[in-house]
Amino acid sequence: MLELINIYKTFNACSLSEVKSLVNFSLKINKGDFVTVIGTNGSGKSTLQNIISGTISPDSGSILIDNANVTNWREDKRASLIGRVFQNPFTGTAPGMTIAENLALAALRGKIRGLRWALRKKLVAQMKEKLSTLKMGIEDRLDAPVGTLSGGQRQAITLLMASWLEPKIFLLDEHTAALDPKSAEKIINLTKEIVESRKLTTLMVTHSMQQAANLGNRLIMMHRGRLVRDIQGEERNRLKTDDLLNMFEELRLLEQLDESAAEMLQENYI
Amino acid sequence: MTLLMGAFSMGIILSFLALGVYISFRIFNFPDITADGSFAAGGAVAATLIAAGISPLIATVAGILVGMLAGAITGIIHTKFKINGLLSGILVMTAFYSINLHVMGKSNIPLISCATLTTYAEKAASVLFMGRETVEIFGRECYTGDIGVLAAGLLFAALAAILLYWYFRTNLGSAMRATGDNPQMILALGVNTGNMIIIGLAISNGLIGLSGALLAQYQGFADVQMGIGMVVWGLASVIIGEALTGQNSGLGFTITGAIMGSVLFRLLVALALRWGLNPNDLKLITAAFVFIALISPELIKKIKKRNTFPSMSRT
Repeated sequence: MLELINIYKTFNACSLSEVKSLVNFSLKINKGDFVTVIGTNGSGKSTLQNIISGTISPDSGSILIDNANVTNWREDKRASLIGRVFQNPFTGTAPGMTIAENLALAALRGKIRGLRWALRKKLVAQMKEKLSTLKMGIEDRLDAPVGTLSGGQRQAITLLMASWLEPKIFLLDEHTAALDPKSAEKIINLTKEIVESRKLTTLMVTHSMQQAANLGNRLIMMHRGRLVRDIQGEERNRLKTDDLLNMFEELRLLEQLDESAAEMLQENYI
Repeated sequence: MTLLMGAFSMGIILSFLALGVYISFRIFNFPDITADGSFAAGGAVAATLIAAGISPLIATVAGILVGMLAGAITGIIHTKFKINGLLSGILVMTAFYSINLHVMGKSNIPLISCATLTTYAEKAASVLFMGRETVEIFGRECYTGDIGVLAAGLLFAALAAILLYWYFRTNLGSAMRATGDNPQMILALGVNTGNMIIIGLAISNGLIGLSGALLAQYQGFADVQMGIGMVVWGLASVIIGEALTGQNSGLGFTITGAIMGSVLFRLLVALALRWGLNPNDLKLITAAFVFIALISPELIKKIKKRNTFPSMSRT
């Protein structure tokens, strides 16, 4: 379904602030997989999502979605295949437009937009139906500007929007990180419901070990632009939150080893 | 009364400018100052064609088209060549000064004794009023011609407002509003934001070109300098309109607000001139007005804060 082949991406190349965000990164995700992505800060998780969505283009390597090579597709063209929810609840919706107008925009993701009235009756009825499943009471506020909603409500609407037309790839980028615990839980339950009921191929970045351990059928761990762990099948089913914490601890120790080695080298040679 | 009618008509004609500025500044969040060029271009093209004996209707449409062209060029310079929006507008505006001069062949084209949309409206009015030159309204004498021009202007403005309202509620128009509201989001929903900006600026400057074409016909001449300061003028109208209808009211209200703001602003200016304001100071005062209108929300916030803190410490 989604295939990344030998992706390299370096920011600020050949300068002091050079960051190797993705190094020879390859990954293949099958149809219907729900993959959770964890990793240290700066490990390239967000870069990975931005490369898939086309927000940034890789230095080299290719991206295949549904066997089509989309490496050179612009972001707006790729949007026909991808539904996306961002970390910032304000990124996924247009605050000055109404809830109904936002949903109407999403109902045409990747399609040609013509001169038909955006809020057709049939569509509005559909909106009410879908919004009422959220149980947030926003189905009666279709004409309220999205800017008047809370972060959790906005993120719930973004989830609906991103999945309104079935996306080939569902990208979730730490989409509960900016929410309070209660809203985060609501959003996670909603995510689970949407992904499982419609069997969406999903890539979810998270920093919550609990989410990573409880959701999905496959887990990958990234560190310094590389894939360091890929856990699936039976092993994934047995995975506990503690195991993930141990994995991070291992990484941290490795890192410390690196740093102390570097310090030693510095002391001895400079 | 004639003064009032004149100011009213002028305000209506300039409301197309206000609508154009509203689209670029408010809907797209794009500080487009192409307007100074496209306004004069609309006037220049329309006046040149009318003076050459071409139907004023066709001439006006040509004025709209040249405005759209100017806007589209600004959009292309900004989105395809990644040049700062403000600078893109300055480049096009500057280029159009020469283009307008070339189109006109001289710096001023008079339209006296030419058939224009204004004379059409005056004739239509005189037919409707059965040939009378003046009628009484509220006990005052009014020229039927003036009434005709005003009525025609109102009709056109209402039509433009309805068209714009309808357009911005269609799928394409919604995508344009979203481009101004949250470009990252609408990009992720598959809209080419660059194209939206190009089309949007074309529509905006088409309206501004129309305003220039109508003004040239109304005042009976086109001048190469008629566009100077028009962005600020339009912005002042939009700001007044927002004060009338509220900044966050619905699309229909803000569109109507822009038109009302334009009329009100022109009336205020007419009064100020009547009371002895030096016309040379007009642009200075307009700029000062926009400046004050832009900073006052922040100032009011600060003053409110200062007032609330002492009272809190007392309790």
